[in-house]
Amino acid sequence: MVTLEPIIHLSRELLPTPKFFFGLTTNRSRVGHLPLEKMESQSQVLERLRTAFESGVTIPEKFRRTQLTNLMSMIKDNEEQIVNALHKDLTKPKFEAILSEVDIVMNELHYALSNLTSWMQPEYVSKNLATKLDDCFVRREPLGVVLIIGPWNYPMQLLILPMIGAIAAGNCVVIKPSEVSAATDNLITELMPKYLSKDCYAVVRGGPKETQALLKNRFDHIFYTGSQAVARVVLQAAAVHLTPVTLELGGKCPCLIYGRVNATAAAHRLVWAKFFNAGQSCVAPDYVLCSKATRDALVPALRQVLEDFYGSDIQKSPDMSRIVTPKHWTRLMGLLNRTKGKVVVGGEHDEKDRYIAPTVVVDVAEDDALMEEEIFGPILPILTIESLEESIKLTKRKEKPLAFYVFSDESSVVKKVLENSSSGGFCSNDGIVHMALPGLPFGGVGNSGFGHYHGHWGFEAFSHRRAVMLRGWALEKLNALRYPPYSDEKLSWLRWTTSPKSCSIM
Amino acid sequence: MERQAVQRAREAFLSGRTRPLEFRLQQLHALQRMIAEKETEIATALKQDINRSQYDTPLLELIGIENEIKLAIGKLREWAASRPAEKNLLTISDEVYIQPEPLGVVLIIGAWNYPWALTLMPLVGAIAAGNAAVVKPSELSECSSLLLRALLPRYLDKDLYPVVTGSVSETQELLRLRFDHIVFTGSSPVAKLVMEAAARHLTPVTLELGGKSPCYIDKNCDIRVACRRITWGKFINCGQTCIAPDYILCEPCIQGRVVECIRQTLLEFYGADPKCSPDYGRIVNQRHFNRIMGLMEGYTPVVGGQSDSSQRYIAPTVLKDVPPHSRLMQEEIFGPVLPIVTVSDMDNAITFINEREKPLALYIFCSDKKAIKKMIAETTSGGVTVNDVMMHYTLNSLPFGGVGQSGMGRYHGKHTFDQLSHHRACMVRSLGMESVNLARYPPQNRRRARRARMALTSPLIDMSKRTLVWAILATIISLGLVIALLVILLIAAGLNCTCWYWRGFYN
Repeated sequence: MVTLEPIIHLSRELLPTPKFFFGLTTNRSRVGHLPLEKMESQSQVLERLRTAFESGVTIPEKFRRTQLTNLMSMIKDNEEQIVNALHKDLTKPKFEAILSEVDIVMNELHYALSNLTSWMQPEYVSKNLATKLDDCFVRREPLGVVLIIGPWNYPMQLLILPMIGAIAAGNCVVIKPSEVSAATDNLITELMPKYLSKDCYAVVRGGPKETQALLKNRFDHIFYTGSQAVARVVLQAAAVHLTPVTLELGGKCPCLIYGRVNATAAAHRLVWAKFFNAGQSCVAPDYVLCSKATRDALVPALRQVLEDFYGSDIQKSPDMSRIVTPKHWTRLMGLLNRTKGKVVVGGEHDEKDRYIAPTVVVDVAEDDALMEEEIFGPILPILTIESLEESIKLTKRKEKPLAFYVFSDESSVVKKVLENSSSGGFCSNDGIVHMALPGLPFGGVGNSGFGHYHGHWGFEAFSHRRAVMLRGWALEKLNALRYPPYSDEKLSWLRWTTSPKSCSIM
Repeated sequence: MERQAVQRAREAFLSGRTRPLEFRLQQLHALQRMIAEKETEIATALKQDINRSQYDTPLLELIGIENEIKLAIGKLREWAASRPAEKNLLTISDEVYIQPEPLGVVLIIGAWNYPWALTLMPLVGAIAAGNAAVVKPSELSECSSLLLRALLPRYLDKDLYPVVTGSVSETQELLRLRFDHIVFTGSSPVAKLVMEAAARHLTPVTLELGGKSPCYIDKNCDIRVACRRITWGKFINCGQTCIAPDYILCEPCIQGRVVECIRQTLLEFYGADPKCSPDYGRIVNQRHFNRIMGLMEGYTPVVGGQSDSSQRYIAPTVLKDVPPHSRLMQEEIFGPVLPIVTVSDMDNAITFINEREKPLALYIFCSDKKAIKKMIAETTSGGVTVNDVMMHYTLNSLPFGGVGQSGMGRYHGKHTFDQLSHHRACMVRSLGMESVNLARYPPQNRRRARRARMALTSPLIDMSKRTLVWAILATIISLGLVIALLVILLIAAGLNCTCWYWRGFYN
């Protein structure tokens, strides 16, 4: 029997990854303002959802459409409140909030509603001679009661986007918003029961202790977005019940800049992707690898673009986010203080405001403090490596990241990087945008996670693909080939009828 | 020793030699040759392990593997090619696709009941996907496992596809190491340990487990044919199949008939004394023999029941009126014992099935299409075969896998390739057309924000029904107009022609 306490204690002490989740103590109000007597216990919530699921209410397409449409109304009607909550939590600029938390969710909802009917259809498969007269298809079925644990950096998007897939697939859903982004947590808890069926969808709140307790229960799928340390704990808990899991983790996303490159255009896109949400994105370019010449062209371009974007006094710009909590701010400042590189852009900070200026550090070595863990902040180290091959080798020495970026005008460079790397996703000459397309699966590999979602992939993540074969009563003579007593003749006929290419005409 | 084998496999994978499709095809051809050339040796090993009959070997294991290899060889290029994805307005000039890539080093833990199929079928997919694979066959099928260890390096790349034999301690040692995916076939308790070990390295797993696969026989169906098919599926490999029909559910009024039909079929298949039939197997070891005998304690079978501990022989056995809470109904039987549990009707059967863990397979024998549809819709399971047993396993275009306690993930055919690949989302953009991007950069104002919203959220193709209807109508109308135009032109040209013709005639 796995107990979580020693593992969590161990993960706190031994693992170097940021202690966002379980080790966090904040001054923010955590569990919301609902009076205690009104709150159901976790097991009551789960029992209610399981009974609802077993009643079959989430299965009909109409129900799923209604819930998704209601979710759309929830976002549309409360856009301003959502933006305000995000501003309270992360000082998220309105533009970023709309683009990365409201619009992307609405887009996904439109996509799901447009395609739901086709997603729910049985998928007929190709047959061999022995099964030519049978109906063979794959049926997508809901898994049951699923758990979605959200992070704090995109508290709406990373909670609601998987939820869309789960609802579309016909499951009952328990969502656990991050208590670190407290205002959004409060808002979601308040709004969800007003728009979605209370019997089928529930919000469970709390910190590490409540999450631990929640994980002891049995779910039919767990979807976790967050850090590797906590992911291990989630997986251990899932192993007890043999629950399938989707993990959306992070990693150090490298950004290689080689060959002929338009430094200004590259700088624009790099700055946008890196400093969006103050660098607190799982797919933000974590560090840059380039030659000395490129670096010398890039740094002034970066400086210029930063001024164009945020003005000369970045702290006063309304378009720059803040670090989520003082603890995270301290961690980032720690990295900056320990780095052996040279700060060439930025470096300003303000503890009270949880502000760190967009900072560029050069002459960073592979064993620098900034290269130890995922930065998850507005600090961009540049490592100077002359050859593309050496850069690629460096990235291979590290864990597989969630995204891999390369900036180059030469398609041969792009191709070389693509073929000699592995990552969740890949984008050349830009950052982050590859995850905005619902047609592309979004997910990690290796230490950056497993499983995918977005669009159809989200629907599949929360579905069971059930193979169905409907046979007839006739052709029993054909079946006789497989019955004992056996013979050589029967065997050779059987080999022929079950071969994949047994009859190309049919 | 295990550590070294895994280390070598990883180094071999990192060398990049599994990447080219030619290499993977070459390995698959070699595996195909191995199966063809060594059929006799494999059959002998299986006879020693599990008293598998001479014909059961190709029937149950080799044909499946051959078909998998043939399919993989034929389709590899298609499977490994990049798959284009849907774009939006902002990405209209970009290359957007999904590239399947190998994961790295895959661990395949096989089971003893089909020692060749359950290790080699995942291996085919692992090779096709470009991975290295460490194969750990089950120690309970010892001869097969030693034979596999001897044969595989003779045909396949020695470093990329090592076979590690051994029992519990060697498996535990392997599980401490890091893999990029683990495929496990076996029991739930061991699966939990495998998943827990995988959790330490954040390794994804595919678990092919078992469970009690129910078999419902409707009173209005061809019971004779139904029983023949069920008998085949139940007693093949002496009941030691993860998708064997574990127990029968039927109404009391047909129970007697079912028993009689099974008895008759058993006579047809194995003769009066199955112990003497070359086509009937044995229980794998003493522990399982004792376990299955223990399950039957206290019940009087209506068919069979004989056993011989020295041969680990249990006769094909049927028990009727088995209570739902008996020991027989608590765990997967995995043996030649077939309990019949009576239910009042199909609804009762559905409730019975839903009260229990999700099984790996569900079998329904019924002639009423509506009733079949209802039963499928109101239950869940890994897979379903209606009016037969196990056949959904044989079609490799169908994904094979469990749900809930019967497992997670799926394989067979292309599904193995997909399961053991990473689907990497790729977007190849150019540094040009920067003006399009301006809308998303700060400093932000309302106009820019609106433009950005539009570019990022408008789908390229509106998938709504209304647009589809209008599109179809517009196409029909325009086609009609084009045809009308053509007709008019033809008539005009025709008139012109005939004018000339008539002029010529009169002249």
